[in-house]
Amino acid sequence: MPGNPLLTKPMTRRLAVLAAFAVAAATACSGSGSSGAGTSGGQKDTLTVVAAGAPASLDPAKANVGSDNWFVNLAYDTVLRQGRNGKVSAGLATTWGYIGTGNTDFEFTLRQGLKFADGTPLDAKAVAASLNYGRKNGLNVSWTSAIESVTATGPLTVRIHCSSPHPNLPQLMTQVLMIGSVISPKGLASPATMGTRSFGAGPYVLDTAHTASGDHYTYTPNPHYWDKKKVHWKKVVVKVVANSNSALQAVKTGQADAMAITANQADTAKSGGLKVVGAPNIFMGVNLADRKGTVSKPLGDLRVRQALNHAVDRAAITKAIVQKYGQPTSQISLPGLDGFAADYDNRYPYDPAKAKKLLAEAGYPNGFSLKMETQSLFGVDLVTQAVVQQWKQIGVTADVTTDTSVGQWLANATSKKYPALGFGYGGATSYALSLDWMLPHATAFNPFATSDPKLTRMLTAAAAAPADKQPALYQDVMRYVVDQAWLVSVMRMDGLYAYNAKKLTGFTAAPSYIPDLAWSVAPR
Amino acid sequence: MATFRLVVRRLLSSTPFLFLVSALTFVLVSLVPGDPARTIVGQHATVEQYEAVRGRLGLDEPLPVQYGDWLVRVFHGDLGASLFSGEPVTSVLNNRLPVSLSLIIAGTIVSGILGVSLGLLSARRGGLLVKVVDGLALLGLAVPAFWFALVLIAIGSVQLRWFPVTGYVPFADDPAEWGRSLVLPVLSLSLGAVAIIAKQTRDSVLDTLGRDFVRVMQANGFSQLSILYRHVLRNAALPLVTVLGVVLVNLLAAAVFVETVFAMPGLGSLTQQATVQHDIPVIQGAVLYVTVLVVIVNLLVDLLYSRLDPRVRAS
Repeated sequence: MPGNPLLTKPMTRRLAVLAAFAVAAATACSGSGSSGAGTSGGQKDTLTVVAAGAPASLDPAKANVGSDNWFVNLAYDTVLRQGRNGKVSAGLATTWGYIGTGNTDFEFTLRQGLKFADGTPLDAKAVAASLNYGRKNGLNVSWTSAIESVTATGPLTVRIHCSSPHPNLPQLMTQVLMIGSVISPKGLASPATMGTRSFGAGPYVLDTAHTASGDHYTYTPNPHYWDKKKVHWKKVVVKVVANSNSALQAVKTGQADAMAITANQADTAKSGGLKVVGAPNIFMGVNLADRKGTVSKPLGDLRVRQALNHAVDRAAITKAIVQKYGQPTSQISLPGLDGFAADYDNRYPYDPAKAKKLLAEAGYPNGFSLKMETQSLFGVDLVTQAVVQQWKQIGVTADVTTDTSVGQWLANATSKKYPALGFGYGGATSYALSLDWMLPHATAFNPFATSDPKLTRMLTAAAAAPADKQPALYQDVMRYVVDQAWLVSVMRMDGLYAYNAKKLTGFTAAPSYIPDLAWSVAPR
Repeated sequence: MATFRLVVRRLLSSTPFLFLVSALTFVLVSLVPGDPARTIVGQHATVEQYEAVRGRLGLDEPLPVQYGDWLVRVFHGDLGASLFSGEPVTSVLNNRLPVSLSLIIAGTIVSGILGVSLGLLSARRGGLLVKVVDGLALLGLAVPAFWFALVLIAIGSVQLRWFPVTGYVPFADDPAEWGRSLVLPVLSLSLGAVAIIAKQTRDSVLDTLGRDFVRVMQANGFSQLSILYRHVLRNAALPLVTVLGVVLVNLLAAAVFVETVFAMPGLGSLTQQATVQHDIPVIQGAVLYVTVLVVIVNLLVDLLYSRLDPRVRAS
């Protein structure tokens, strides 16, 4: 097409200038300072970490354990503290322990002279009020359902009384499970504001002026903190970046300092000069929830459930999905936790022939069909699909519904329409596991409220046992549940983190532990 | 007075549209399995606790009642509170609006200037440039903005380290950083629109240049620049204004993905997050804000039309 004579060369130059102006206006690339949420990672005295999602709430009682700990732990100190070795140590309390036998009464004594960030005294009365608020209004009500009362028995002494044995009260009081996060009376007087403000006694306070809910959360030092040596940063920013690729690029380019990553990001993180740390943390597999065969009759037969276990090549799935960042297993307890039975990792060796034989014995020589539900979050659906593919070789076919949000998954999981559910579950103590999976009440992991009197008796005995006897009893519980094939656990996956080791120290990963930004992560 | 009447007429005719969109959004969100109470209580909750939260949030009421309650509150200027953070929805949206507006207005300006410039150039030069513009237009339509965003991050942030990967700095905090934080998101949004505007500009200019009045003006000795700027561009601008309006509305949609990739605290990322959480008041509020923006854009297009074309004013 010939050019039009009306558009002459001077005109072309004008347009070129115009276009250049547009580009210049758009790029505005002068200056390389670092201010605001987008660029604070480069500052030496500022810690910037990336979280994959906004917290459910900043109220410790309503925050999610695991995904929201970083947001809460910075501003809320806990009664006790859990170290990376799993040991419970002093926090706001210096002494603690069960009273008498049976694990129903627990007492702790607070430090002297403690204050909340707002300057008001932190005493036993305030702590008791906070714990009572948490157990009555908290998300994780099942963990605290055994607690009957929390009372101040002295100026610095608090007693927890349970209606039934609760062997995990020390763990419950730590920063990992967050139940022991202490909220000030001002916060308790105004619960609606706790979702967006902090009312704690942690090393930092939420700086609401420099926080945009759902985007970034800025914390500054608490002037009343009891141990100034633990305050390592002038500012801590938790930045929400939903897109994991963008988040990793932000850490690689120094815009942020640390983040949780997936297994398939580990090599990219390492090649970008970041240090990758990880430890077993999450189980993945398929929950054979309909253990009485209410919706899917075959699942009511132990031989069928065991056949479904033998039909799964755990090692192959683990390698394919998380490479070296996971281990195949048949159980749902982590090494180092009380219920871990080392001899049960390979309880169900991959043996399709044996699986077919078991199915035939149960009266299903040609297999059967069932409905399944899974979720696309955290790659749970990948494991589910891999299991479903392997079940096909023994004639079992599954119609899988994949949910895209936790809310959807929870709704479907508890609907009793799905006899089998793909699951991802963070490593927990056996008592917590029993509340979700094993006791005869309906939860997302036991939607049909399966009752097994023998198992319930075993759990009751273990919960009431002295601490040194509990591991053996809980290991027996784990063996029993795996023998009963209540689930097809496939692997325990590492919780992985990438961080800038040139800037940070103390950033560690361990089973059932979250890198402790509030106390341990410090400038190198 | 005619302009005033036009504005009033357009606003009145938009009211049913706002109702329709809000009702449709309410129904669609409600059809998605799961509800906010499930997300709020989490996986360790008992059935009783779940039911209590449903009751507290009014989710146990029939859908028309829930929608009616929301509508009554809206008429009182109250969009409710986020089911998760408890913050007033109006405050949440007002905090997010400047980010999205910065992104969309800058995106429209950049794509408008670059698109018109490229279109005029290709109308004049023809040949290879026409093919380039056509190719770019096809590419712009076929390749989503978030893909452009990832490519730009790889080049502009990771390789060159000129721009931040994520985040947004308010203009009031630091104007230079505000500019830096917008560069890659704006370019991601604009690349597709530039090509479409360029193609439209070229076609409109060529069409106008072929008309009789242009030849008459040339014969009468009018300067070439005068003909181009005062007459050809003005005539060619009518379809261009329509395209710019459509582009701006498309940028609103594309901003959802771009804001998510660049972790910008705008309406788009908020809507995405609220949808995942089933935070119905926030979703409803965000959709309302965006719908009002679309109405305003359409109104501006109409006003520009009447400004550019006396026949529209007369009608």
